[in-house]
Amino acid sequence: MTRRLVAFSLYLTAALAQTAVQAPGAGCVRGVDGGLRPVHGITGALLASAPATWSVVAAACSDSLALVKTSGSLEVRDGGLALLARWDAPAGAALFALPRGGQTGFVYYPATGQLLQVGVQQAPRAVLDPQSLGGTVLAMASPDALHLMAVVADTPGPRLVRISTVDGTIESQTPLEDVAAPLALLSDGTIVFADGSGLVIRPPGAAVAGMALPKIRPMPPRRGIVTERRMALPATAVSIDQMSGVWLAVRLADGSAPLALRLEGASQRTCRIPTMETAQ
Amino acid sequence: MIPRLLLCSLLAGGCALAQQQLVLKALPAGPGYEPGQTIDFGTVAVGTPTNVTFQLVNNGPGRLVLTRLRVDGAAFQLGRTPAGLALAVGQSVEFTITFTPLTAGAARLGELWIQTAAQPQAEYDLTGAGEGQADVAFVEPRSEDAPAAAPAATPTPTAPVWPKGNILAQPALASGEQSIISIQFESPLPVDGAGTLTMDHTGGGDTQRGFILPDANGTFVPSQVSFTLTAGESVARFMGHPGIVFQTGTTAATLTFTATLGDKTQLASQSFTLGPTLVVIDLVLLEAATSGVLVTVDGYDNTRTASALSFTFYDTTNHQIGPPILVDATAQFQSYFPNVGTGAFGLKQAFNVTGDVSTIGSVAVSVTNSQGSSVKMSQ
Repeated sequence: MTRRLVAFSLYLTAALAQTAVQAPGAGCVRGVDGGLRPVHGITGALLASAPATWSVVAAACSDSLALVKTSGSLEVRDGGLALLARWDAPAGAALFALPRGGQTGFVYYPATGQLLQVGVQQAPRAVLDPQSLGGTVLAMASPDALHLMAVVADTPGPRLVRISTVDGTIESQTPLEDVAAPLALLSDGTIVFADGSGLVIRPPGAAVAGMALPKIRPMPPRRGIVTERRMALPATAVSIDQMSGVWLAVRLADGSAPLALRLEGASQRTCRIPTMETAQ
Repeated sequence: MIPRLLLCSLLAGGCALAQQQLVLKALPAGPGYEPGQTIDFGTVAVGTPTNVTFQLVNNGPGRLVLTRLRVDGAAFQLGRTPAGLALAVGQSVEFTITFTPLTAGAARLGELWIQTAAQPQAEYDLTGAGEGQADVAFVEPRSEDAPAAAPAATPTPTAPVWPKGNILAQPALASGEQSIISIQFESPLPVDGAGTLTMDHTGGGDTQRGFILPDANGTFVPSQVSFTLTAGESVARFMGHPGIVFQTGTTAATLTFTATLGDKTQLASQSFTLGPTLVVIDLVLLEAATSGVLVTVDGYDNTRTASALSFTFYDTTNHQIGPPILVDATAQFQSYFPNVGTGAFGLKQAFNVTGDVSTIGSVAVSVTNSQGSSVKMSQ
């Protein structure tokens, strides 16, 4: 303990310990009307306010960045949804991977198969040859600045692919069982996907199954017993989007308000996301 | 029958049809009405219900949500209400008003209110007249009737007898929760009807407290929603659902829910108290930052009296690193809460660190308010 006290000192004075109190942010949510709204609040007391932009096809938010796809462009916005950059993009939907902090993220265009790194200061850069993935990306996550993980749908079944963002090398591939869209991939490798009228939350250890494909690097040993969890939903999930660094937004087939989902250790918390109505 | 347009009021913004996003028309092929105008149901045989169907059209430029549709007046009754419905540009919705004159001659008066979330309330006057002999079941007593001359068996008007209603919350209302509010009756309802559920509060107001409509955007309605009643059922319905989600907000208060019919008849009322509690810490995040670490604490204080903070750091093997670090944030909270309408807060606390930041594994945060202290570990 003494050694650690010497090695690690926290300054206690008010001059050095800075305290800021503000409205808690909870990212952003895309409405069925195409509006992208910032969300504030905490579990059980969220509220989406007036849209920052309209005609949004797909979007994802982290705590510091938002990637927004419109019909013909990709927008980079800050955590407050202020526009920072806009790039041309193919028509159609997009998938995103955004680390919780940082100023870069990744976008995948299903229409063209392009997988790009994008940031505030840089034009979109291809991460790898689209053909090398050998399938369609269903979800992506960014575990660190140098890697990208993707769930890829392929004829034999879905795979979890780990990609070096430095040179586009596919470092590992792991087959996944019983996984289908809509799904979300978290930065720790957890997969959240719809199953009937509920969600399955599958931590990385529980996702390992089957034989390794060629070129696959051995998976690290499991740490303890990891089991997937299931949670009931009021209706079938039709989309799962990254709402912030810690929240997912789950849209349901019954047309009701989206659910906010936050995974916290072995439990999960959900609540509806109400929207403050505003004129378009 | 098509109602006749009687009057175009120049007051209350009437006669501005071109500017109206929501246009009211009578069907089939009836006239359009502007706010402030009178809708005349004509002359109808006493005691004979006459239905008129109306259409609301969203003429743009944007989507809107009907937050209120209500009819007042003893002779007028609203059918199933579309309140809460979202209308895209060009979409329309129909509803029916039933006019049943209770006496012959004099015009019966009523009002129709229509409100959307984005526009001010529009009011329309309702009128109509009765003719012929009254069905005894609908005869209204008249003051000029001589009591001695009145037949002993003269019936009085038959108003429906509504069963006792109870307003329930599941789960029980508490700060920072979303509960289902329902209105349940102790016996089946005698007739169809429509009304309004209103939430009033004493104590702390809250900008995040209100109803969440079951539409695709989860439209937030702070204090009042419409419901419909169906003969034979024992529960009020909100846009067809037997309950409606209510978000309690994050300040202590006493909430009173009151269910009333369009004619102000009270069906049920219930109060719930959201008592003061310890600070509820929703989320603690610990992350590396320039020259140290940053701790983010999201939560709510329904007393809005938060003051002292305590941070206890642990290394990656769960050994405590030094004593707890105390921070007095009273001034920051006291300058924050008066400027926001909720008890929710997001606190960011930066720490300068000398040494290896990667040895820090977790932090326990304590926040104190007037009710005591609560603690939560980082994720």
